Amino acid sequence: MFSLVHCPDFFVQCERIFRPELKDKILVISSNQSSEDSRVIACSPQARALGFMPGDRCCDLAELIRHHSVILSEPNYELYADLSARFIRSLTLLNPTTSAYAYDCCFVKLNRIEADSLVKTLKQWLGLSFVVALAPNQTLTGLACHAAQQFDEYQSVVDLCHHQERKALLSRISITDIHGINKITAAQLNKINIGTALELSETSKARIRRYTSPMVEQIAIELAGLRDSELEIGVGISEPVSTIVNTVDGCSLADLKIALKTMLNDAVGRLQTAQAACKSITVCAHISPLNACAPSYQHTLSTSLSKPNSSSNAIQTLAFGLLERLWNESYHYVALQLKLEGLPVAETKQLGLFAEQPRPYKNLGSAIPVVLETRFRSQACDTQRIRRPSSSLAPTTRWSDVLRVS
Amino acid sequence: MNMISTCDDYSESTEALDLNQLCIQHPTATYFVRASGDSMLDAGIHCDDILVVDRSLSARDGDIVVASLDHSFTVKKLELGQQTRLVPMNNCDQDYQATIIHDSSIFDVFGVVTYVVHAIR
Repeated sequence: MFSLVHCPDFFVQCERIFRPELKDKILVISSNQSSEDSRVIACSPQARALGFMPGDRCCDLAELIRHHSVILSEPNYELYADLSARFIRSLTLLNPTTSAYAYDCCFVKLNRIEADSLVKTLKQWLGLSFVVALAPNQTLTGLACHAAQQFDEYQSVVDLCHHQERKALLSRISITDIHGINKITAAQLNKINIGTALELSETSKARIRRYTSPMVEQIAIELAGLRDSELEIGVGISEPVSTIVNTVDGCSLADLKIALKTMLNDAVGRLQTAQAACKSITVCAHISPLNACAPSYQHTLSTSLSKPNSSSNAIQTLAFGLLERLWNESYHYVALQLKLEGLPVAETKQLGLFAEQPRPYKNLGSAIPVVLETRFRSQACDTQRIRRPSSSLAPTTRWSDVLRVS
Repeated sequence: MNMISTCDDYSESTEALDLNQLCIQHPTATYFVRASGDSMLDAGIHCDDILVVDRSLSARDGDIVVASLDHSFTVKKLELGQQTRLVPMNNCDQDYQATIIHDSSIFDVFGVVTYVVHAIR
């Protein structure tokens, strides 16, 4: 089972901790406010309801901003980086199975009762509200988080482990809200009368594959609740091991490579998030135990890298090489297993009151503008670089900016 | 007897005293704020002192807390009785009065003050 702990609207929540006057205001965090190319970076739920989206140009929304008294705020990347580090460390302290996935979400292993207690503790320690999604696989955890934000009746813990709850939610989710389904794929699915996640989960695999791709077929399998279950979360963030098992259905090497590529993207992403380099790769191709023409066995090949590498191309080349050596056209494969072992990351330290200590995620502040800039480029926007705002406050990492209380 | 080799036996196992270990019990839930004004002089909090604020502690009656009241932060003694009150601690200045927290108040405890760092030079 997957459990994802996610902080929705992370940047907005961070701002509101130290500026309580923003709590009930419509808040938009935007870059380069002094220039005409100011863009929306993040917005509160009220702002999203008005139509603000990340990447929008603020000058195009000037009338909306004026009419609804929207508050525009410069981003505080140092603050976001520090609070993200606190979140990940707090969660690791409370649950050692934590695996950081992004600056605002982590995978952990926990049950429903633990989830309720975790949300309350994190809220008290950090002042941030979290959502915990419990589901049999990654696709459903993503949808559970989406449900918690979109539908009022879902509280902070969304449990999709049972069939009835899953079905009820999936019938309300459009296929365009599913991670991994873009507009082109959605249009292809609409042509065969698939518009909701429930319809996608109930359509035959062969039909989906005929009109789309193995990746969409995999999504449909996961929506039906099948376990992607052998994804092992590395213990803490200091021992990154990423193992993924995916079901496949075929003999063609090309199809297996497509499935393996998807798994590689996930596994490499996890290692990179844990700031680890890959030191060994294991690929295992499972044959159907019901195949009367072949013995039932798991065929596994591994390779160790002479020099640990975090390049996704290099890792992919090696993994494909293993798969090509394993593959046999006579066999019908039913599952692929991929395991990447990474090097442990260095210890990080909390800022101290009395000693100069290294910043734990010192590059996160500079990483965030780069990630946002990439998104803007893909939307065919201006390529003007986002400048780090000179006026941003850092009340948790700079003495000159600590909160004053009287 | 070689005194240096005697001390060497302890050099790897001893650590210097660390004020972070003394003052910060829960690093991920601890924040620092700076006091201004003199409403809490009797509690030993002077203007510009640094307060160590621990969010992981549940505030009890009599604790000194940093709280947000009607969208602004304040540091006061918390009283939990029939009424919840934020009480200043400066007997010399009668202008400071306790604030009663009503149901309609927008009130939230940010954290409990555990240490005060006061520079005397």
